[in-house]
Amino acid sequence: MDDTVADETARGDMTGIASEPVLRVDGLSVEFLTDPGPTRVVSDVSFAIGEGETLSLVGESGCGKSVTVMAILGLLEARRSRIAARAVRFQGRDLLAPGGKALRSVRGRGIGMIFQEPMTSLNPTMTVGEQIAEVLRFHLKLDRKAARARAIALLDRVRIPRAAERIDDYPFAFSGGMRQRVMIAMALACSPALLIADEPTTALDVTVQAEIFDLLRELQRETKTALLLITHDLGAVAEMADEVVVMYAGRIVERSPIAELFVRPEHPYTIGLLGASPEWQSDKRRLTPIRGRVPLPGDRLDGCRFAPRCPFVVDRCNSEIPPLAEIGPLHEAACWRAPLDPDQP
Amino acid sequence: MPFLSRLAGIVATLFLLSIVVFCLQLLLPGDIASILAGEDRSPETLAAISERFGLDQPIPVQYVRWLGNALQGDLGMSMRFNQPVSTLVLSKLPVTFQLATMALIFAILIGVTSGIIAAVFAGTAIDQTLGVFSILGFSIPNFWLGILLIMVVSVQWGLLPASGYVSPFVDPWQSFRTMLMPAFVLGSQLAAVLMRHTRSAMIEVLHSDYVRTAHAKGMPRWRIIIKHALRNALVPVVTLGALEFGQLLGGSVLTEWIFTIPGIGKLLVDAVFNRDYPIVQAVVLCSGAIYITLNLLADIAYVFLDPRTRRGAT
Ligand SMILES: Nc1ncnc2c1ncn2[C@@H]1O[C@H](COP(=O)(O)OP(=O)(O)OP(=O)(O)O)[C@@H](O)[C@H]1O
Ligand SMILES: [Mg+2]
Repeated sequence: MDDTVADETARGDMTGIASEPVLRVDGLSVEFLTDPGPTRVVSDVSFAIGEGETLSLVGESGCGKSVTVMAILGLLEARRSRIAARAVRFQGRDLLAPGGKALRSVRGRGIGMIFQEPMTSLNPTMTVGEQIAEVLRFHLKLDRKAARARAIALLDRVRIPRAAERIDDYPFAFSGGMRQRVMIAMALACSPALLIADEPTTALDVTVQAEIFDLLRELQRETKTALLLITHDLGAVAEMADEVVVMYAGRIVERSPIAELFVRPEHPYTIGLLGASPEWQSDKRRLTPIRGRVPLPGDRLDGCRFAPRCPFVVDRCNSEIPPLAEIGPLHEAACWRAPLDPDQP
Repeated sequence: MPFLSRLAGIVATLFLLSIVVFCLQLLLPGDIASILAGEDRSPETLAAISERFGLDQPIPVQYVRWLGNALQGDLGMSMRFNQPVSTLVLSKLPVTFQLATMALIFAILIGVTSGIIAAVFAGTAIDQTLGVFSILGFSIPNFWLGILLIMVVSVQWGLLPASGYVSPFVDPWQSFRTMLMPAFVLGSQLAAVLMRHTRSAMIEVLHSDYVRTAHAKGMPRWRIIIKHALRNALVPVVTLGALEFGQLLGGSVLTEWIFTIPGIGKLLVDAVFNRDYPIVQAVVLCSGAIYITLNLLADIAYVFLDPRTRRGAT
């Protein structure tokens, strides 16, 4: 990549966030080396999260949200994937640096991560206490006793009843919601500057979902941790996020401050998404649920990937990819027709 | 409760085994009394022998008497050595046990280690090379490997003794040296099997969500492999290893014969050739009992390794 140097000067102003961001991702692309050939599942994704901020990444299943965050943390299988980016920086450290040394020192210490699957994300042969203490002992060099005491305090903090007794239990003795709490305790153990939560509630019951979001909100208020929240729950987005990034088929189609997004969504896909979500009825521009299906990563499309499903489609959409362009303060959309006039579909 | 039913199962299995073993002697050609009588086959002698060994009794009575004695450790007298069978078996058992244990340790050391390495480097030349060795280890017959080793290592290089046995209590080092090749030969198949199992179990575990979590926690790679992956991968492997120990004891018959090691296997082969039935019976019965015990131990090891099964067991 020859553009890393040029990029240094561009840092900061492209994101529009005043303070130095905690995490800055610039031009991230991910390809999987599959049988017929490399398939690109994430294309040119850029975003930044400021200290204590919450950025929400939304989009339909399969649009590349998980792959994006896994690529940032280097959790994709190296032999089966290829990652390219102008920069991925966490507190100024280059996470893509060869050798992965910066990455390893950041994982679990500077960035905590919660996964989509609470039932399988904990090691079945270690007690939850061991699994939490392990992080504390490795990163903070606590001794056995101190790590255990801290682990109990953490379990208590994520509202696990009788934490001192439960600490020696194995994951199988916990429900899905409780396991996700353990994951949160583990992710927050070293007071990271950033917490990445990849659909932390998707696998849980509705009532438990609300509890987990409440807990995350409360912990974030206490710890001032920045949060990268991936979710389908637009209600939670509305309540928690400062900024929203909408992805479609591996690309960012819209980026907006939360206040703007629900009032003035600009990309037809975002409009569709808001309309399709039962949590949110935007009354002005109600669309019927989005027709058609998400293109598969391998599908050949010359223009906008949303064009085949878009009610606002014009000729240009099928031949040229629309770039992400500013359409208002801190508000960007990748659409030839933005800003939209809803009365002329 | 599950433990009690397990125990009942074990007792039932041993009972069936004892019947089969007892019936062995009935199925064998020739009248036992006349075999025992040797040269002197006068009706008086035969009758005396029959009476002495209870051969004139109905078969169920004979069985009950035989079982009663067996339970008290009396498995009869060897016809050939004129010694109590139990004494003979007990004196040979440690030899075979040492051989099988060393073979098991070899198999685990070689098989599990190379399985881990193959899994960590899956798809690379290292993995493929180890795969070739595992196929060789599995398919080379023991007698061939044994003879090859004797010819090369003992005869040509003169490094290790080709045969015999030294008790570890007499000379531990010499005992180890004598057992080295036989144990390697006996354990080679199991090493290959364990390697393949460890490899596939490790590959599966290395792709699991909790290993991904461990990476996200920033744990170092080797710690993840040993602490997070291996333990989970070993649950099925250890169970297999313990079960296969029984196979090793069985397989030792041939190995003992190749390396002329005075263990149970050699005792059994000699007894078969000499129609020394009480010894055959005793060896089969002991092997069965040991095999069942090993099954039980494998289950216990499984419980120890996998906390999920602990609840049901206690
Ligand atoms: N290891 C892989 N090899 C090949 N393709 C993959 C791999 N992992 C993910 N993909 C593909 O990448 C695309 C994006 O997947 P990703 O898991 O990021 O979606 P997502 O937005 O997180 O969806 P969800 O909301 O269902 O979690 C999908 O089309 C998926 O099939
Ligand atoms: Mg996902």
